[in-house]
Amino acid sequence: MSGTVIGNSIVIDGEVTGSDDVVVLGTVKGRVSVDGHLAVEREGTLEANVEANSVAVAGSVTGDIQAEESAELTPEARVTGDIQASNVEIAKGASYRGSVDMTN
Amino acid sequence: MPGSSRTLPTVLASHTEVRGHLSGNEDLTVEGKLEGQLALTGHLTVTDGALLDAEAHVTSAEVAGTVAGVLVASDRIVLDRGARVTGTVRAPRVIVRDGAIIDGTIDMEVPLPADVGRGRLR
Amino acid sequence: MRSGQKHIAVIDAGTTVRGRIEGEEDLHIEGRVEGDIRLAGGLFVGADAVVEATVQAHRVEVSGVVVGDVTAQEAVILTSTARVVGNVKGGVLSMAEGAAVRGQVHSAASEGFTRSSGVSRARSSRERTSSRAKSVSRPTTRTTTKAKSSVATSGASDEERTLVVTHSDLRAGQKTARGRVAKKAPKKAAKKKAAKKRTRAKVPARGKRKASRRS
Repeated sequence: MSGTVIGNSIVIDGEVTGSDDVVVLGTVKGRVSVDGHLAVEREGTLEANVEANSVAVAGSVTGDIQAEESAELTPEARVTGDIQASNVEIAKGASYRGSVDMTN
Repeated sequence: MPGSSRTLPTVLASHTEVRGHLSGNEDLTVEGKLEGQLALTGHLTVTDGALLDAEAHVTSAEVAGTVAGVLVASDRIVLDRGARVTGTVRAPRVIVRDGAIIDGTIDMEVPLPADVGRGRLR
Repeated sequence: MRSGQKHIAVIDAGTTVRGRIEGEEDLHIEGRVEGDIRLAGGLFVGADAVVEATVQAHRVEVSGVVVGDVTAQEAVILTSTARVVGNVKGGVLSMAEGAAVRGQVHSAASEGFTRSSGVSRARSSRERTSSRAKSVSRPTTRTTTKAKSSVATSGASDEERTLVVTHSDLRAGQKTARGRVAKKAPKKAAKKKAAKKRTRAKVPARGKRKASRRS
């Protein structure tokens, strides 16, 4: 399914909502609430609280992450904030500060 | 997949809504809804079914969806079939194609002879 | 409408009319008009014409300069050399590529001219309202009424003049259209015949909306 792509030069100051998957290569400040998959690429920056079905972070996130299914941080990820998800994977090398809640 | 660097065109997909201020130096396609302010150095495409309800400043635009608010382009705006303008479109050139519906304001450069007054525009 | 001659009024290039123009029939402007224009027929603004006026007509076709609000019952057609500053309202809007507009625009369904498409499909039933079956007899000869002789040229007095363009068969005292559509719309097919060479777009035949004007 073709989803939303926020390109590298794009800066959003506000809210991104909807049911599409979202790929962030740019910057979002504010709030992200999507019913699909959220991918923050290596060059992507989020200064926002996140709600999504699933989240995969390879870039920078400052904010709380709430995922219905899974939250994944790759080795390049830099995340500051609390994570709440059924499944959480924080890869070796990822930079993370916050608390993790994996209870259902 | 996370970690990969891809050059993909920026698209707000059909079930996505963005509210707030969006800026960028690339082309943008809106298939969903963009509300607020847009500052784009690039080409804006508003597809059939999409809604742009914003004060938007772009380089150029092609519209087949709905434009409320003010759309300003430094180059040109093309209103295609399916376009519905309920706000203002402003550009040096605005091209209205077959099927576009305008219920708003078109603001183009209109070259007038030197001796013609302009007082009638409200 | 009894059989007889059809009159078309032309304001020639080099002529300036200041004041009100009212009429039942079509008016072709190749010169300048400043004031107020109300026609039950069609208004044609030539490529070199300059109209600074409030315009109300059944149909308005612009190839030149119009500064003022334009209201039409049926259609407003802006050809590629049209330059309009003012609010445009009524019926179907046709804008050729190259037309320049600044103002509020309210159209039922816009029709733009495109290079390749020959026929623009009617998008709303409103476009059909003017296609009346009522016939106006086809003229065998044409008389062109020139406004030149009865109107002041540039440098005229400030007093408002009314130039009334009427069909000669109307009795004196019969009401002319005042901002309303007259019941009898001029037969569109008659416009195809040119009494004299003029720069003007082809008017589509009744029932068809053929965008054929290319400058």
